[in-house]
Amino acid sequence: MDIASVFEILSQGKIISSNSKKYSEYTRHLMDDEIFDEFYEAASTLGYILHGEGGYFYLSKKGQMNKEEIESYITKHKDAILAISILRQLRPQLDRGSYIVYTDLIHEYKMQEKEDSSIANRLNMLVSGKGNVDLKSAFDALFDRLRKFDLIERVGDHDQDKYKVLDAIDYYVKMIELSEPNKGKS
Amino acid sequence: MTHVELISLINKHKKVIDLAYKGEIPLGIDTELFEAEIFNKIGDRVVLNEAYIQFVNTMLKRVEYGVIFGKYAEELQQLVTYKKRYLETSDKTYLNRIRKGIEDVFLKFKRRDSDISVLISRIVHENALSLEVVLADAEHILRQMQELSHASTQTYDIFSKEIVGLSKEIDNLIIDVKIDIQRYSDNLHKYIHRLNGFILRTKQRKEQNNKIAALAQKITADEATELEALLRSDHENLHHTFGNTKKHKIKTVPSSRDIEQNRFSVILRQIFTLQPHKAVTAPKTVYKKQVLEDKVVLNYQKLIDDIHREMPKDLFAFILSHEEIAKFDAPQTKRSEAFKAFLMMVSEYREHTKIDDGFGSHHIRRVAWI
Repeated sequence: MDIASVFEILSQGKIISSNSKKYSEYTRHLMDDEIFDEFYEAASTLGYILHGEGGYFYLSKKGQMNKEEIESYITKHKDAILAISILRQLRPQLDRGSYIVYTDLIHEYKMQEKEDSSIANRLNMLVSGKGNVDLKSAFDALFDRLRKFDLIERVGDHDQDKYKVLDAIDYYVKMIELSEPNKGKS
Repeated sequence: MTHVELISLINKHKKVIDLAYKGEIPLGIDTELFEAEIFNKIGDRVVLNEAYIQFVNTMLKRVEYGVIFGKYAEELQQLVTYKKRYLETSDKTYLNRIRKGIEDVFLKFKRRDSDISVLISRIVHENALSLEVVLADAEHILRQMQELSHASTQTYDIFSKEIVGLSKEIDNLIIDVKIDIQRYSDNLHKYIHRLNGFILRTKQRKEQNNKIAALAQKITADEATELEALLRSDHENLHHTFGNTKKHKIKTVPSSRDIEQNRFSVILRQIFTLQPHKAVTAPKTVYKKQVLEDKVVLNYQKLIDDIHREMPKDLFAFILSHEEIAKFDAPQTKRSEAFKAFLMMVSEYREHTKIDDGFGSHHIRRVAWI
């Protein structure tokens, strides 16, 4: 494991979580203060900022983004928040380290969809690029997004149904807290 | 009514029954449900059958709090009564009953201690219920535990002040029991502390979920202006993809030039021209031959030697145009390999590099080799 390997992963725009099995080697590496500082310096020299708080690591870019980057960056964050809102509605206690089961969530979705159409709107908005799709395809797309956003990770190779919620979910939850200040309390 | 008919009936009225189970009494309850005694009428009041609630609690592994918490006051009162009778009659039977009573109360304390510990673990790890139900349960348990804490003090006082002094055997028993009761009482305070923390966290979680739902609602209505402002203002510190942007689908809006009246109508006509439907033909399957690929490996030593010799002013530009990088085919791979090599050079040969304030042609810091 060296800085270049870590950079290769982080420069793809990934957030890697300490409780991720897939990236455990990378996060263990970064948890060493000396290595973190060394990488921070190297990244900073190259115009990037390395972040490593709250059990997850990512790189951001110094300076202005171009229009395309801004669009893509905002869309990605909105999509991630929509996906989290669906998860939290189906599993209100869900947090980093929780486990979710694909089939259980579909079952719960079917129960809630009848009483709350907004959840279906959110799911449709997330998978709108896929055209008119059935529920399984929509959920496949939702889980695919969650994986790409580095928010969940499949547990084991054989048990294809079960996923672990990664520490990176806190990154978005913190952002939601900032964006939606407390109401009614002063 | 058969078992299957009962299940069908419950299924038919599941919403009404579920509401009642959650503590609300719904209106318009079907008479079938009263006939099957799933609901009962007590005067004007309508209640869900207690046996049904117990059955559901058992199946859902929810704990029956009444069983755990129980009542202590009557047993303590009984001890005081036995003491009075013993003092009046000097009948040793009462002493035996007092000893047995103390043991019973102690055993209840002991059992309750482990039951409460399990109960709190269950409620803290409960995932299937809504937060409202979990919160209501937790607050109910907390009230019960606070009452119990008071009862523990009362028991301790009754043993210490009322029962003591009747016989040496009972006094010794009380000393042993009091030590344990004190321990269980301490545990109770820890449980109360833990449950208080859990209730606080659950309330925060509930508040957080409301915020998530509110923001998601704004996103679907395209009104998430605060979020967008936050993302734009703090983008230097927030995570984003800065590579592979071409892979993302980016929605664009027409420019003002495009919307100019004449041009716009032409563009619209182009867009909305209907194409005749073409018959769909099955795609041809193309089989590729399996071929051995030569793995391209970058010769770092040669690169370092050349850098030492050429002393480039812009290290990244030099690496990118170097023959070792030219070995790679795709421009993206070239750039990525050049960047990795550049990063290694900068971090490993820090003393040979002079980092400029400005950025080079590839939006990467200009680094000169010295």
